[in-house]
Amino acid sequence: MTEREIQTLIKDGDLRRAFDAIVDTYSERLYWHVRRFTLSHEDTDDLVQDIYIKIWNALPGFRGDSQLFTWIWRIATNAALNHVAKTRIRSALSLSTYAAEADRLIDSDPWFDGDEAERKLSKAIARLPSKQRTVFCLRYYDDLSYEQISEITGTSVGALKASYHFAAERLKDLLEL
Amino acid sequence: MKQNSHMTPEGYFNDLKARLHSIPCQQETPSTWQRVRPHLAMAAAFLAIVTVGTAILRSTAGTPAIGVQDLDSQYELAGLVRTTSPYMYDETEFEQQDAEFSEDDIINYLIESGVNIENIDADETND
Repeated sequence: MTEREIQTLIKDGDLRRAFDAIVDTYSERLYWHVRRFTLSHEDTDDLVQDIYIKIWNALPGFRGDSQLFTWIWRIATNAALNHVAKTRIRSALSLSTYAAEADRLIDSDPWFDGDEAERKLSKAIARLPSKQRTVFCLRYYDDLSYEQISEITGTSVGALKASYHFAAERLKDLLEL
Repeated sequence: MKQNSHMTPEGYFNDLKARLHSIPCQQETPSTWQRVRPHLAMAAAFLAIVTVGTAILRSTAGTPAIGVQDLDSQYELAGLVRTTSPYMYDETEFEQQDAEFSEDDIINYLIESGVNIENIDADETND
């Protein structure tokens, strides 16, 4: 089902069918988007369910002012960043750092299927500040345009381009390229 | 989209979609009756407790210790139960004491008490 068809269902008040279509269309892509932040399959599984509960509860309020996709990704990205913030706090409380916790999650992930270069890239991305990390993931992995990222994050396109540039530079340093 | 370096358990996305599809059923907002019912049940229970409590209090605390209809039987029992002055309740004893006083004794008692003799005469005349 296309995004326009789903939006028509929402406008007609057929929320149940619209939600089912959102699940069928976006759940797998959403899972991967969230997992780049949580770095854990189990946490992603929990978080994706929470995100869909939020989507279901917020669906009656969707007015179609923005694209349905960016609306969903905004909810998901905020939830993922909240999860990262909580992990940072937990790490600080246990006298550790978020980078160390991210390394531990990546190294102990039984579902990691990449080579050493990909492992290093995952660890380096986890070391980026939240905003740079968000922009980099949405641009590099999700292939979103700056305009779409701007709608999701509520940041200007110029600021996003700058963030992406700084993120790329920082990753080069971290990967010693 | 770039190549993913992570995996998921086999059949995971089918399972995930099935769970996500069930969210609307789990999140169904309860009807007004379902929301109000627990509060009504609590109010009814409270009302029942107050009603029963009031009824019990009225049936016990509201009744005098000696009922009017039981007064006679209480006096009858008083004769059987030993008290500090049992004769106070013994009517026969009072009758016997009354029988020991003659009319002259009463008149003498009244005179000694300082009652005017004319008043006694007047009383007798009225009788």
